[in-house]
Amino acid sequence: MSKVAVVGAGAIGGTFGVRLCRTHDVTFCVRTPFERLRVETPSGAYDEPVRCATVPAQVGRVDWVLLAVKGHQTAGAAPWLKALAGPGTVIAVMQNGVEHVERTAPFAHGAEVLPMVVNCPADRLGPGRMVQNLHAGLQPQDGEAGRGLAGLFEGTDVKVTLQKDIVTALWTKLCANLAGGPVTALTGQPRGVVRRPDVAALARTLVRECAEAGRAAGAKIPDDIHETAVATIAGHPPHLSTSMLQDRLAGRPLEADPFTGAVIRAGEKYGVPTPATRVIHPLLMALNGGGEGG
Amino acid sequence: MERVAVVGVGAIGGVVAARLLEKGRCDVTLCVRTPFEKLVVETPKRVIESRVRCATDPSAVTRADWVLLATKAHQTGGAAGWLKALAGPGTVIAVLHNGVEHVERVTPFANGAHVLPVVVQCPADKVGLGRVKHRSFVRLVAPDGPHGRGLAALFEGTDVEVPLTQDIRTDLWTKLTVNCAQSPITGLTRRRREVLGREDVSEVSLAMARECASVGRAAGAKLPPGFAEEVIARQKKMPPDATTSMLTDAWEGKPLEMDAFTGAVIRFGEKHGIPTPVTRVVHALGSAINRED
Repeated sequence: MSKVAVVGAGAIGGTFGVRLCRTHDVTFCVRTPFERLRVETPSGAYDEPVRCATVPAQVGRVDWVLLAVKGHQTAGAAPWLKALAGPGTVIAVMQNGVEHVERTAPFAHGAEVLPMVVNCPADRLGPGRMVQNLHAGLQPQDGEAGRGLAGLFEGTDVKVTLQKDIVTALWTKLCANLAGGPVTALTGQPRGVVRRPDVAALARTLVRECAEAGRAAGAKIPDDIHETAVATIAGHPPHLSTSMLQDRLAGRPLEADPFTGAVIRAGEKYGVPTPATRVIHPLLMALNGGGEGG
Repeated sequence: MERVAVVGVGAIGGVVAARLLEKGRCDVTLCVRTPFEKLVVETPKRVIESRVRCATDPSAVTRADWVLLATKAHQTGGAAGWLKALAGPGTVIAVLHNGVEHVERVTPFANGAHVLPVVVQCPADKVGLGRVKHRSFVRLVAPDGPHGRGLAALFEGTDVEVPLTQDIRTDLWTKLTVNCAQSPITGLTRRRREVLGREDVSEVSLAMARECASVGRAAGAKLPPGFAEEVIARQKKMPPDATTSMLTDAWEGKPLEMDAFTGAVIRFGEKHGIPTPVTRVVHALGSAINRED
C-alpha cells in the first residue's frame, strides 16, 4: 500500500484517483471537498468514500503525488507540493503539453518528476462527480518511476504503457491537441468547425508549426501529422466539444500557455519560425480575461 | 420634395433618418423587416423623436431620388428587392457601408442608379427596435461631384457633416485600417477595446494594421509611412470599455462582418501580390463565429 496524494480533483484527478482508493492510502487535495467520489465509466460506475484535504497543513510527505491540475495552474499547487513532496516521492505529472519537468521541477523539493502522456476523455460535473467517456490510459516515461506507476495501477483498468521516447510521445500528443483546441475555442464552435476549409488550413498550420518545433526538440513526428491530426478532428462527430472550448464557454482561463506558449518557446529555442502560433497565442490568452499578456 | 428611402435602420440608418425627419424637408420612408411607429435617437445633447413611415415590402414603395443604403455590407444581396423597387436612372444610392467595396458590391443591384460610396464616421449603437444611442458626431465622407454635393445639400441644416473629398479611396482605406486593427480582435476575444491594451494582443493588432495599410497603398490609397503605427497609438487613447459593432454582433449571436473587413484585405492583397498572413488567420476564425454551416 502506498501513500498517494491527488492534487486537483478535476476530470483527470478524479478519474485516475478513484481507481486507487481501495488499495492505497489516497488523499485528494482540493479547494472544494467532497465525501464521496462518483465516476461513471464505460465499464461501470465507481462510488467511493474518500478523504479530502483543503489546506497543506492537513497533509504530509507521500510516496506518490498525482499532479492533476492543468499545466498553467502548477505554480498555484506549489504549497501542496511543499508539504507532500521530498526525496523519495514521485510526482506523476498528469498534464498536457511538453514541459512537465520544467514546469514542476521548481516545486519538487527533491522529488522525482515523472512526465507522461495522459489519455482520459472525461468531464467533471461537480465536486466529486466525473463522467469518463472512453478508456483511460497513461504513457509515462520508461524507467524505475514509470514502472512504479504501472505497479500503482496494477489490477485496475487503467492501461499504463511505458514510453522509451517520452519526447516523441509528448510532442505527438501536443500536435493532436493543437489540431482542435485553439480553433474551437476561438470560434466558439465544436469540432465540426474544422470542416470549414479555411479553418482546416489554419489548424493544419498550427499542427505543422508544432511538429517542426517538436522535431527540432528531438521528437520523431511523422511528416504528415498536420494532415492526419486535422483529418481526425474533422472526422469526429461535429457537435463534440474540446476541453479548450469547454474552458472558454465556462469562463475559465485557457490552457494556452502549455500549448501554444510551449510551441513558441521551443521555436525560439531552436530557431523554428512559428508565425501562425504567435497570432493565435495572444488571442487565446486574452479569452476570458486571462492574466496580463506580453 | 425629394423622396428618400433609408434601407436598413440599424444604428447608422437611424441616426441619419432622424436628422432628415427632423429637418422635415423631404419625404422619408424607412425600409425595414420589422416596422415601428417612432424613431428615437438619443444623442449626448438631446433626444430626437420622430414619427415614421415604415415599409416592410418592396411592393409598398416606388422610385426614390435618394436611397441611403445602411444595411451591413453582407446584407446587400438581401436588399436587392428594395433596390429594384426604389432605384433607377436618376436615383442616387448612397452606400453607408463598412469596408472598401461599396461600388463593386452594390452596382449589380443598382438598376442604372448612381452608386455613391460614403465613408461613415458615426459612433452609435442600436439599442432596440427604432431606438438608437448616438454617442457623438456623425460624418458622411463622400466623393466630390454633383452627387456628393447633392448629399451635402440633403443634410444641410442638420448636424450631419458631409465633407467632400477628391480621394475617397484614401478615406475608405484609412477607415478600413482603423477597423481591421481593432474590430476583429474584439470579436474573437469577446472583449471590449481594453483587450487591445495587452502588449501581446497589440502586436497582432499592429500586424493587422500594417497588412491592411500595405494592401491599401498597393490599391492606390495615399496612406503615409508609419500610418499603421499611428493607428495603434491613437487606438490606445480610446475608452477601454468601448465596444465595436463586431463585438456586439459576437455577443448577440450574429455572424461577424468579416468579409467586408478582412475578406477585402485578403482579396485586394491577392490582386496586388501583398501577403496578408495575419489577416488570413483572423479572417478564418472570425468567419466561423456564430455560423451554423
